[in-house]
Parts: sequence; C-alpha cells; structure tokens
Amino acid sequence: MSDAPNEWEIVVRFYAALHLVQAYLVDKGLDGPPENHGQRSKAIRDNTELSQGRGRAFRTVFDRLKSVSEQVRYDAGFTATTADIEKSRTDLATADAFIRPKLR
Amino acid sequence: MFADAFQSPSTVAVEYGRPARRARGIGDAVSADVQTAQIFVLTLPSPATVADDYDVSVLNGLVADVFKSFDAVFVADEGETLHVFAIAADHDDDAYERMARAEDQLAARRPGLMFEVHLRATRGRLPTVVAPAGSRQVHARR
Repeated sequence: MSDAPNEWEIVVRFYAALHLVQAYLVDKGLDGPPENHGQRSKAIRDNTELSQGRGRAFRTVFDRLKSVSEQVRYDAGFTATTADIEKSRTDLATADAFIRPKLR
Repeated sequence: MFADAFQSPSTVAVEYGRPARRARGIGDAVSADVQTAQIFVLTLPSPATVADDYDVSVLNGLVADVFKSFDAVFVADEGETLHVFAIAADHDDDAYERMARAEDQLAARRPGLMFEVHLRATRGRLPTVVAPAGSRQVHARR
C-alpha cells in the first residue's frame, strides 16, 4: 500500500458495502450466508434483484469497490488517486441507496 | 536371453506418473542381464493426470474466450475456487459491464464452477506486471 493519503478509505468502504450485501442475503433467507468472496459473488450473480435491471448498476459499483480495494492492498505498483477515493465515496453511496431500502 | 526378453511386449517397462526406477515384467531368469544393462523406460503421465490436464486446458480456453474483450486474463487456483484476473486499462464502468457479462457467460457455460473475478487496472503498466505472482496467463489481446 502506498503512502497516498486516505487510500484506506477505499478498503473501508468496500467492507461497508460487503456488510450491506451480506445483510441483504441474510434477509433473503439464503441457506447459510456466503462465507467468502467467491460464494458472495455467486450469490450476487444468482440474485436477479442484485445483478439485473437496476441491480446491474449496483453490481458495477460493488465490483469496483472490491477490485480497487484489492489493488490498493495487493498491487504494490498501484496508487489510488483522488478520483479513485472520490469514486469509492459515490460507489458506496449508490450501493447503500440501493440495498438499504430492501432490508427489513 | 537378454535379446529374447526385449522381443516380448511384456518386457516394455512403462510407469505412470513418475520416473521408473527399474523395468518391470522381466523374468527373474534375465534379471542379472537386465540389471547390468541400460534400460530405456518410457514414462507416461497417468490417465488421471492427462484427464486433469485436459480439463484445465479446456477451462483455460473457456476463460480466455469469455474474457477476450480484456487486454489480458490470468487465472490462479485457491482450493476449490478459480480466481480470474481480468486486466483492463482502468476501473471504468465499461470494464465492469464487460466483466459482469463475461462472468455470467462463464457461470452459464460451467455451472457448478466456483470462481471469483477480479479486475486489475494497468494504468500504463504491462499486464504481466499487474497480474498477481503465481497466476498463469490464459489470454493476451494482440
């Protein structure tokens, strides 16, 4: 991870989005919530509400939060820009606005 | 006796999956001759290994096909999960739309496959620099 200011914000925002998704999947009564990223990706893919129609935009922002946060952590040559940090802010806001009303 | 032994198919020494230490199927009567001779042993991969390699090859080809819109694609195994790294210029909406389409195609064509897709942005670097260590390349756009 580089010394770029606030780069960790992206990671924190990804995990905030992840917990929203997890809460949604638990609410929907899956047979056991996903226990890893692979299972969660499959659950999102298999859920029409999360992956099709308006869900498509949600899927884009969630996938971007996940991939950028991974690159921040695991790609030593990657430096998040101010635009990346701002994008993570709007992506989390989009994910939150989409998921939260669907929670019981 | 040594020549006779090698005329019979039963004396062809084939071991699967590992280098043979010595020939098999050669009678005790010729063992003394055989032990002093240099024996060429044909080593083949086991049928199971061939099947596994074939399956991996087919899967690599499938991943390369469905993710062919990306600059490059790398894969890595982690337990039961196949990690797919799609390499693009940047983290833009278009790349994520292509990624979702490719992911859906892969799931449809390989039901039951546990996989996770990651997008890696090059931002001017070579795809091979961006790919995780230990991953293998299955696609490069020409």
